Amino acid sequence: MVIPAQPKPLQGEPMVIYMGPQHPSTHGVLQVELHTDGEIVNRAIPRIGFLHRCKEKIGESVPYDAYVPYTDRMDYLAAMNTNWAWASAVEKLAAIEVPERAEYIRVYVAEFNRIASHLVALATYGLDLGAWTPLLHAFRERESVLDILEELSGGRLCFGYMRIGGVANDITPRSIEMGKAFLKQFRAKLDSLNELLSFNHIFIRRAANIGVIPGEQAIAYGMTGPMLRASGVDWDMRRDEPYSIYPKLNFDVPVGQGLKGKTGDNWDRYWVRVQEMYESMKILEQVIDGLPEGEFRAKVPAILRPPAAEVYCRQECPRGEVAFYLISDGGKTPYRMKVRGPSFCNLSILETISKDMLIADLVSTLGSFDIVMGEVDR
Amino acid sequence: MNILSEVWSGFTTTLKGMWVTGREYLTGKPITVQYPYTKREMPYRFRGMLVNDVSICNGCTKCSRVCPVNCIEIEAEGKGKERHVTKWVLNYQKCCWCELCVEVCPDTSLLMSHDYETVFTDRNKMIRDFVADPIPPFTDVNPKPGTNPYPKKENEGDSESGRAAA
Repeated sequence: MVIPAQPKPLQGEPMVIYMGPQHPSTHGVLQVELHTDGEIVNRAIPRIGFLHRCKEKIGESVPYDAYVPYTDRMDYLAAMNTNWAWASAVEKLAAIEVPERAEYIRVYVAEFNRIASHLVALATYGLDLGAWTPLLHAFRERESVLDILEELSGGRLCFGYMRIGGVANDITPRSIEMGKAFLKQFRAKLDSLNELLSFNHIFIRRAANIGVIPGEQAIAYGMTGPMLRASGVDWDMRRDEPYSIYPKLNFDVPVGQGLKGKTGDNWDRYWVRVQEMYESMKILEQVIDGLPEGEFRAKVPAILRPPAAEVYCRQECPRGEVAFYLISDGGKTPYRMKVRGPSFCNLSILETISKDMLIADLVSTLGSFDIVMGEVDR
Repeated sequence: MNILSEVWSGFTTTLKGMWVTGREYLTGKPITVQYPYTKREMPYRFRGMLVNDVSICNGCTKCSRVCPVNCIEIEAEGKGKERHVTKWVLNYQKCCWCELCVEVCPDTSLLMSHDYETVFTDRNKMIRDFVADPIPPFTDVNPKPGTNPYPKKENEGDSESGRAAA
């Protein structure tokens, strides 16, 4: 007797999809290799390196002051902060005293750049989830921030404003006027942005309870910045390991509380950035009030030859800790230079938390990371 | 009940957002500049195309040494006050608009102009020899449109005149 073959039960085959490197929701040239079963992601592997420009090797061949334009192109949305991290690393290496006025100007531009950077983060996150109008509102505000920074530095994206021992040019009265005018109207604009996007129910349902990162996991993966704070870890370099004039300034550190879902979800990461903009405004008001007279740039030899030493200097940038590790052998150029980029470390958790996630939720999670590929690949 | 409150909340919050849009529509003004027809005024320190007035330049090669991307090539002859450049080539393909060369220039012959329209029709034109193809010298008699006729360092404090005068 012949037994007829039993038909196999219906089974979906896993499919590999390459999201990127030219996908609008990957925020640059990131490729995510998706192993999917229908709509569910089994595994998402970020593939990086499309924007690699040998920044660390270049750093070993150019003088210290000539490397500032290269740091612009790392985190291009927050060029001022990366500039500053480089300048302070070299100052630490060569033991250069920075005038107080220069420190005030540096905080002034860095906090404005933090607002501009967070505005892009919020706007593009909304755009990933299909909200177009908040992008226009946020970019209009960002334009006026860039006008202030352009007035000071002459650039709109790659500022190159920091120099070893200070800043390139003194602050102008016009830029302070522009800054005051901006701070006067920005709080109301941010409130209306909240009405438009942050508390929109559809947006909350797309962002809350998705991509939850517990605090211990965030620390284990070396995450920093708003992503770490959104997971409930109260850590901010500006307050806990203070540099520059931050000890003199009064500001709070917003931490994720899981207002709309669990602590450490996408909405928390979004909301920490919104609150940080309010805190940056507080800092800026204090800086404008307390701006001292004096030099804006320390006297530094034209060809800088720091003593043979090694330093590790880190700073809080909009995306987290940017750090430079420098070894000098007493020559014109560093012997070795290493960059620690926050986006690179933050991105590494994607593979872990994206398991059994919907593809649409993966886009939402990746958007909330706020990565800049120029700094991931360097 | 849960679904009803979800629908209600989704409806009201979307309406709030639309109210923001409507308010902007009624009271806001467009901020877009209609670019080719109207151009925005650049701030004094704006970093546009780099130009060199070779009639002032004495070929000290400080700019080419400080340049992080090695885009300046200089040949000079003569000694002391006789020294002048015979070749001052700038490669616009490499230039990264960092203004480090302008800072070290002792003769204030280098300048980041206000010219931001950096389109070339020929790749060979992007490598420009300022001796063979000079810009008009920095005098107020002969200002070049889009560039500052004045050296930057003399007018640093005056943000209204200077570059904007061109």
